[in-house]
Amino acid sequence: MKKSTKILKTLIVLFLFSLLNSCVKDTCRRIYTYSYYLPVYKTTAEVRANIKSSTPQEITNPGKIVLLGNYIFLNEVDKGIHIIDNRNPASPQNVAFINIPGNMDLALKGNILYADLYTDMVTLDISNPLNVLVKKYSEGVFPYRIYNSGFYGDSTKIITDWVKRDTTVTQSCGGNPVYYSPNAYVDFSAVQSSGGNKNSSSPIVKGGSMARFAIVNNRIYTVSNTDLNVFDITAAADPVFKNKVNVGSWSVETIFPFKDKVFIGSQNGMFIYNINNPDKPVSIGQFSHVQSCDPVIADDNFAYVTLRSGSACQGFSNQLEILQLNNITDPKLVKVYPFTNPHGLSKDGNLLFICDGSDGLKIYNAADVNNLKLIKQISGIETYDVIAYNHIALVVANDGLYEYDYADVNNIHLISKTGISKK
Amino acid sequence: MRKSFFFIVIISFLLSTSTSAQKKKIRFQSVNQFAIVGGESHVNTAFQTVNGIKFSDCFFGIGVGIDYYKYRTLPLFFDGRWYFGEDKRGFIYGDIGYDFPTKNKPGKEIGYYSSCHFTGGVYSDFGIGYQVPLYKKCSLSFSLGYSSKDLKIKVGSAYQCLVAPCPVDFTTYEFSFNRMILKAALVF
Repeated sequence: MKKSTKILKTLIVLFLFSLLNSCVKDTCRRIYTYSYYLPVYKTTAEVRANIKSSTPQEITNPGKIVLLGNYIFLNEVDKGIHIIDNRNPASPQNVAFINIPGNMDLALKGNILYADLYTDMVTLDISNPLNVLVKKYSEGVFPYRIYNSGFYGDSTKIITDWVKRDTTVTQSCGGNPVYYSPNAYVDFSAVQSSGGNKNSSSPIVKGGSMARFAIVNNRIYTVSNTDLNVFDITAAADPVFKNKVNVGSWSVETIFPFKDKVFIGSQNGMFIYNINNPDKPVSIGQFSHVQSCDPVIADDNFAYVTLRSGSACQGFSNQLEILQLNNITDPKLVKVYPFTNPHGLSKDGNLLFICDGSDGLKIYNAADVNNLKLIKQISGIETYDVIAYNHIALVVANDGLYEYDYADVNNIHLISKTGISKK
Repeated sequence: MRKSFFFIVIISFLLSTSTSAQKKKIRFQSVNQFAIVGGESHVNTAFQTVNGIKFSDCFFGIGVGIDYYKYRTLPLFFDGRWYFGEDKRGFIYGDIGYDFPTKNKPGKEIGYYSSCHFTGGVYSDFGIGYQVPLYKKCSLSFSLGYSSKDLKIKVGSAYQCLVAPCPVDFTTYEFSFNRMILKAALVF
């Protein structure tokens, strides 16, 4: 009897436990902060009247970079282009600024500069960098430049600036966060990567590996998230849209021209297009990788692809992949090197420059791709893109534009820094 | 707030009953407990050791443990209990303290997030139990109670940008895990 009472008590406790379990509820509150931006409009006429060389402005949010002879053209994201006189690399001078709202990419052919202006492309004569002249507006050629909340740069008014608003919202954890911002677009920030590139007659033009514009002979190739666009620039000041090719990827990021090919980097692979027929690029090969951001450059034998994690690309790999291009239709992975957070890269001869995020700039001897040898690591700067040319490495970092002299690889040293204004 | 109020009431009650018994013997007591914690769609385990002094019908001690409910935490708490009944086998208890997170990697990438930071919070537990003598001063006790632990997780999601550092949006999740807690303890 006593034993059965004990068992009964135990059962009652267990019953109570399981009964009360179902009565208690966890609570969860989600508190999230986000920024939204209110657009500032100007009429198209006002904007176009202002596209000229104006007084130099502080560099605050640098983007793509193109080197033209003694001048550096540095994109100020969504604002325009800085013109930097680099005749003396030890003392570069910020000499002018071209106001181009929505600008993220640029490319140069001779004395003609092509830049995006939201959905339009503007063609500028930069013979005199201190007095650039607009030659043409190609309207609606970049329809992918759409903003959240339905804002467009349309034919009557253009967004020239954004007023930032920060807000905090508290809600229960069920469901997805609701980003509410009346008459504004939510910032999932300057998400596009873009830029310029070109091999041309003198003066030498060279672009970074993050470019989304590339010039090959008489064509300018631009990439959007999904497409490769072709413009005929036989008459340099009068670009004519010729063709659009779907790349077969939803996340195209960069384009790099090499000889009769263009290499397209996307978040899920590298695509190679033959441009023997310049108006009709033909896909001839591709190499898939895990989802990641991936600038790409190439030389005669190899393609160099950096994959990085974090950011909108949502990847988890941080590495350099080197691909054998002997059989261009079937690139083979040769070697993978781990990195911290590699971004842009550049190659000059056997020297390979890699911007490794917070790990700075790394310079390798890449004579043997199976055995890259680190020559120098420049720490203490957070690097984004690099152009290595003529013994000067132009490095875009989070706090400025750096120039390094690598004429003597055993004595790579800083020769100048153009600071960024922090706002 | 309500939990704190209950705890204060319990402690006050214990203190008032114990003053009359101050002349009685004071001795060290250790309570080592295994617990099953069950709440909304989740059941897990916890272990605790509470050490303190027992005098008259009361016990006061400091406890530490490991709690696997949802997120693993380390509670550090004050424990008070009052024994009642003819043979002083029944008891009510109350715990209040702080639970420390064990998963905490600020600045490190955790899955999709660019950062993930855990912060602990208030730990509380109160309930009723029964103690069965085993051998000399050694006994077994069983208790059923209500427990709560708070935890904050702040996650950052970085967005792609042209130049690092990229902007990061932060979201803070404030959890309050409410559970029933069933404990078996070896007391000596």
